[in-house]
Amino acid sequence: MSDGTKIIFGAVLGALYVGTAILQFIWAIFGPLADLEVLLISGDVFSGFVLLVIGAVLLTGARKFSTDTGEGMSFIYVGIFLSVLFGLVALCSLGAGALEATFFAEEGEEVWSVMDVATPLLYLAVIGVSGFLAWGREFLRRFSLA
Amino acid sequence: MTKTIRVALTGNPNVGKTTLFNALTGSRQHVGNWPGVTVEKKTGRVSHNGYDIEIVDLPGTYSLTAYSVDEIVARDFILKEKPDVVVQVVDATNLERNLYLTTQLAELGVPIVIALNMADAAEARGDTIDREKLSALLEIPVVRTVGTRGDGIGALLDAAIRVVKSSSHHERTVDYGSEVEAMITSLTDALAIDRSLSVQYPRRWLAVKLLEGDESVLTLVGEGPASARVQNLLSSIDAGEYEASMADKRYETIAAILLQVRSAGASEGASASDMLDRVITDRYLGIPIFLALMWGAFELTFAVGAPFATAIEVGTAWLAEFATSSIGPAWLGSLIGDGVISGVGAVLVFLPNIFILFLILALLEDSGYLARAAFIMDRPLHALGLPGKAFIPMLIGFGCNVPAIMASRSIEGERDRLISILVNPFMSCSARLPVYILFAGTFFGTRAGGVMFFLYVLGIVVAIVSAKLFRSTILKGESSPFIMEMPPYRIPTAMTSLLHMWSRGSLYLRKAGTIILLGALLVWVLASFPYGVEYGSEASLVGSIGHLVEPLVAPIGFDWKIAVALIFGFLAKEVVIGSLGVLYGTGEETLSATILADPGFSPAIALSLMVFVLLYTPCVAVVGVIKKETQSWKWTGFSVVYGLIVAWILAFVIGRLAPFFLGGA
Amino acid sequence: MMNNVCPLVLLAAGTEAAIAEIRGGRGLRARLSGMGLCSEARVTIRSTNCGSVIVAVGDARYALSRGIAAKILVREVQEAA
Repeated sequence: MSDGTKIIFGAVLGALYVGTAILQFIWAIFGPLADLEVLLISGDVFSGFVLLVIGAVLLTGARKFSTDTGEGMSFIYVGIFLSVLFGLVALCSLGAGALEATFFAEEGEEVWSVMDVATPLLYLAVIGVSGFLAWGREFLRRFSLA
Repeated sequence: MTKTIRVALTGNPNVGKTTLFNALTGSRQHVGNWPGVTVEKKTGRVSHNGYDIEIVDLPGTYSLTAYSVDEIVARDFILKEKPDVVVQVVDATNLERNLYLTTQLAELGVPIVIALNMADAAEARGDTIDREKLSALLEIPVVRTVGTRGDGIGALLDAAIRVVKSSSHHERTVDYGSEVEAMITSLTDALAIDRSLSVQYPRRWLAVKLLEGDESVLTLVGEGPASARVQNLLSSIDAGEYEASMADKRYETIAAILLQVRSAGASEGASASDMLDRVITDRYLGIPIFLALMWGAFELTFAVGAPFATAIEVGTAWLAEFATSSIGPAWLGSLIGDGVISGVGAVLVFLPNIFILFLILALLEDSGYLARAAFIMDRPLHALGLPGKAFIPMLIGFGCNVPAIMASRSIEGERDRLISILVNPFMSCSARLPVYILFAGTFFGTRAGGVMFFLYVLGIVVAIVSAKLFRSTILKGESSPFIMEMPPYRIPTAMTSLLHMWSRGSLYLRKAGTIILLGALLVWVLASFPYGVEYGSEASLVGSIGHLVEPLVAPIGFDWKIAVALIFGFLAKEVVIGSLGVLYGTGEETLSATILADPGFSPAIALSLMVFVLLYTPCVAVVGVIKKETQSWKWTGFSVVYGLIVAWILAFVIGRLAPFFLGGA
Repeated sequence: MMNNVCPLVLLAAGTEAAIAEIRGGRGLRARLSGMGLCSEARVTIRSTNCGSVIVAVGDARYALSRGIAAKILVREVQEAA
């Protein structure tokens, strides 16, 4: 896995995160746009903000690669870590929602569906996980763990 | 016959002393306070090889000067209580600094054992430490320990027992160079005149402290017969130079020892932690990353807590039903069902949320991230007039203000600490949530979320403004410098973090178990008497109290029922809802509809009420903690009155302005 | 070797320096000593953030606010290659 792969990975994933973040904001301001539902955009500004932050970290990492490899690498690693972390948060949210709906749904309430709570944080994290699995150990090996 | 040994546990902060203490004493611990100060004192017991060992956990300190309460408590204990042995917990990955404390301890004249902790981290780094050589050079036994795994505990206790039994210990202390040593000799000779002092304290230690300008030793000597001669000697030297040279000599000695004892494996360059810090404390991304993590924390708290909270809610409702209908005499059934179970149940519903929040905070703290967050937030907080270290207590305050105010102990300056304590109640704790959920949900429908967000922000704004106000009037003065150690990032162990979560969460549980239980009972009693009266009606005692207080809150638009609810809210803010339920004669599900129907209520009044609940006097438990932490009735009383006044004014103003902003809602 | 003494607060990340003087009361100096920040101690600046710094002293890392960083005067040191 060369450095080049990492830069591209970071840049692409970063762009995806920023892209979905922008879409979230657009939805929040202008109201629902039919096609976007497919991407699980929901107009939640807060998760939009988080998407933006993750994207920014990744893109900064890709950018810094040209000046300082070590630093660029750190940003990308942190970006990947955040991606996985928030993916887990989204997953837990999902799980909890499912739990509540299964056990405590009242009669006549709308059937809860996964679509209600799934968010880009979740599926983009899948990409993040691949990066984590590929490079996690290398980061720790490269710098002493202390 | 079992013999008893008293061990004092000391060490730098962040060396894993607490974990080691837990490993040594297990559950046989007792937490209290050092008399007269708000420093936590932990003692524990363990039996080993026929000995009954009492372990006193001294506050973590970098050295033993007289400049901070922690240090004074630690060294006073060693000097005055004379424990049988002092065990210093040393971080094997940070030897230079840790041994500085050792040099100071050595001068106290007590037997010492060193627990070389975090040995696993040092080994992972490639360091090799020759423990035997180190032990020989220091003349102190050195035991390898890994607190998180419980390694070396037995050996440590063995060494402690051995040292006590042999009753001989190290002789060596730092050699300060001929000039300083000559002065030390002169001083020790001079001090011989003061008999009582020489008996209580090692003379060499006194001399060293005098040369370092230690205030308390100067006072001690100044009161005795040796004073004149000592003053004479001290005035003949340049204090600053001596002090600097002595500190240098200490580090020189340490360096010389380490040269023979340790071969470092780590490269000189940046470590993983350093590289992570470049990102985490980046000037542009640092705060956004922090905010994102906070969002994640709250999202988890509410989302994951929800199913458990609902489960508890359903459970207690069922239990209350069961109690009221099946327990013999009606009044007893009502007492247990409506009073106890419902009342306490209202609080238990929040248990999952609180524990999850505290667990997340514990994970963030144990991983080392929270220290960085405090660093990042120091400048913004400082600009807003709040002490940077108030940041963690403020976060905790969103869960419950009781552990939050206790966490303010870590703030050094008295002024800063006081400000942090006084504004903490404005961080909207989870107890106020049921009030928001009920009223925002009933009166604001889809905009409920926005209203709640507004309330949280209002709390923060009031805290900031209050801090600025205090700073420029009653608590004038410089704010303390911000120095914080950044421990290396670690993967937190489940056990440690869970224990951490428990120590804070259990405070909330205790509050629920005691105060809220009492509160619920009190409400029930006042609502049921005079005997035969309709439960919670105007004719009952609560009604009378309500009408008494009504004129005070009438300008805001509150009626007697609200007044009563607010009074009970002083016991615990959760009780506000419970008492409203009693007063309207409904259960919680229909309370919403009942209130909506009441002409005395309107969105504006609901908003005023929520603002009042947000800001007014903290609950009894918090007031109790404030008294304990400030040790002053003046400040406790102040916080009670201040909250009330601020709440009244803002509730009034917002109530009047609300109709303009809410429009037809 | 450089003889320019300047406050810690002005230096950039990555700089290595030796402490020359600490401008403060006895309390501050004693406290910093205990942490390893005494005269002639070698420090490396790891990170800066509008004046606040994180310095490395030996194996320890400390975050210092701008106020304190302004009181610690250091001499830049060039490592022999």
